Amino acid sequence: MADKLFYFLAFVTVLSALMVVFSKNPVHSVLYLILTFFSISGQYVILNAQFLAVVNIIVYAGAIMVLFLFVIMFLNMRTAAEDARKRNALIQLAGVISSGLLLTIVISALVRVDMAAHIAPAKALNTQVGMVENLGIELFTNFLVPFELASVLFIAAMVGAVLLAKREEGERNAF
Amino acid sequence: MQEYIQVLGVELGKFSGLLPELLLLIVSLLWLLPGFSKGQKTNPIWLYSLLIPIAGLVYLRWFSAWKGQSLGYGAIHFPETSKYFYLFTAGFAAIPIIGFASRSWGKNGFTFQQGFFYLSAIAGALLSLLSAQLLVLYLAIEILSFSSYFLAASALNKNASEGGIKYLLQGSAASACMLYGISWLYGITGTLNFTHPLFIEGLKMASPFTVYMALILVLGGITFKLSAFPLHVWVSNVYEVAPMPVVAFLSVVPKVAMLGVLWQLLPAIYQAIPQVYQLIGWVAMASIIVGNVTALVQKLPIRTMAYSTVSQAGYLLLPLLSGSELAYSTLLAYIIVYSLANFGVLIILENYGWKSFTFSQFAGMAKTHLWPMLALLVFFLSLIGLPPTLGFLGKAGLFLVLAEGFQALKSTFYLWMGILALLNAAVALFYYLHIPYQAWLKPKGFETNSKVPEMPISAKTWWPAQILVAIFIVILVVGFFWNSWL
Repeated sequence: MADKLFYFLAFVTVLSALMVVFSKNPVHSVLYLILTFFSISGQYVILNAQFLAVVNIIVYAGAIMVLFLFVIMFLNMRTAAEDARKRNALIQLAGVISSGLLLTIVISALVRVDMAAHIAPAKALNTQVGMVENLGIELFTNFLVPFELASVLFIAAMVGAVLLAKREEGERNAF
Repeated sequence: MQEYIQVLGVELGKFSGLLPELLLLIVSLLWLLPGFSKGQKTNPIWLYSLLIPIAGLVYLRWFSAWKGQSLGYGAIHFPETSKYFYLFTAGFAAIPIIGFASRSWGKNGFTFQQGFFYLSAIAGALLSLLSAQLLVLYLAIEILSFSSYFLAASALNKNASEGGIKYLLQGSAASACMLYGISWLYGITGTLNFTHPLFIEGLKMASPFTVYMALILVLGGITFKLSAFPLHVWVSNVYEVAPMPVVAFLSVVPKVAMLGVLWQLLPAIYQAIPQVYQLIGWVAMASIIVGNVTALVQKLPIRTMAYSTVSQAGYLLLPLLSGSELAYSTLLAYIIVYSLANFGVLIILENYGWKSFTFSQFAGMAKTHLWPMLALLVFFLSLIGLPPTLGFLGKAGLFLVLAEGFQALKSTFYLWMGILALLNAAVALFYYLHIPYQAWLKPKGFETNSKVPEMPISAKTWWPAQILVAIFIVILVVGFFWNSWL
């Protein structure tokens, strides 16, 4: 059962991810991206990581996607897409070649990873590791320092965003 | 309830070793309290009060609080070799505050937001030096990066916003690379703690090709902060648009911090795969050559300085090819030489109002401004590495390190690195001596018929800057003659 579900979800994930790249309309791309996120959340549920599944939906499908949609709707993407089509074919070729080479290198590096060698036999797989309670314990013991540093990072990012976006009296919109 | 409070007390007590950095972060928030108006005029006293937390930090770490044990479940450690990197990072962060007057920070002078970002950037740099875990390292570098983006954009005009956004976009790409590389390392080794024996074991077991790939991705994020070759493109743009104190900060402090990080990170990787030094060597060589060649063709001195820091980043990477005692002391010495000379040049360019000059505008200036031109000459000679300055000893140390590596490993790679570094040091002569050449050898007004607009030269120089410049010159010249410490 879980096997079949996995293959189904994997198929949906890959297909919708390809559609993100290939669809002409940016709004359609974003909608396919939401579908991708939902199917990835399904994968998390299969892996017994419910918390991660929910967070994935809230953060990615909820917050980040809404942001993407806003940006796409505010900026007129149609003219930008037409500009991109006019761009030099040579640059496109260079992009395809260099990203293709990178893909080849990454895949050939990943193929060499021997997964079986790295799973230590003594460290038995804990199926409950994705539960909220276990995750919380991990987060507030082993990963306490990174957790707190993330909050510092968010303060800095937030203050900066407010600073750059804030308009003074008499200052006019740049657009 | 009481039990919980007790547990909390015990848990918090475990973090007492990190108190100076936590205090710095808390104090940095104070600069946000006075108000959040954009470009608000402030009393310069606020600018100089930034020195208090920095001085406190240096005092605490220098005298007492450098504890040997790790904390935060192995996330933070205090290795002896990091201590000097830490002190240099904090100490050099104080120099832009002293060396530039409040008016150099922007149209309206120093603002409170700049104070906040300045302190949080320092905190990020210092935490990255203390991190023993890749995730902590990543977050610390991100804190440093985010603060740098906003500092770079903090002149609050159109150019500055554009430069800041470009910096932000490139930085995001670099940080994504780094995070992906960290996830690879985690997958390969099963631990994020790079001081753990399991980390080295895991690297040894994995295929070297995979480790190289992961390492290249991680190096992406680090070379971005170092402004070394593959991700150096932001440098010239930021140098042009950012306020000069920020430029001075960005050209030294992140570099020192990242070199300290590499000094902690690389030994573990060298133990697993000794050939990795070639990768670092290629990065160093590419930065030296690319930085030099692009610096040669620039029209503006400030852009030349920007690309010259790229090549200097390459030189700073050379000692990392070997982990010996000599390499360590050479790296520290070269950091001192580079930082002081670089600060000196930027301080003079800003305080005399020469930031946006072209080279030809310096023609004949030695007659009118003898002392600043002499000071510039000393700093440029140190950056090239010519004899009457400490820079010569720094460069000589680099070649000694390469010779030592050649003898130890019998690898001609070190030999070629040495030859190329020497040739490039000669190339650096041409662009570093361009300003002194114009000032001394060209008659004044030689190119006045060109379209260069005459810039008014500010007569009001900032007096602490002159004292600083004098101190730097004394260190750089006396250091050459009194060199028993090397």
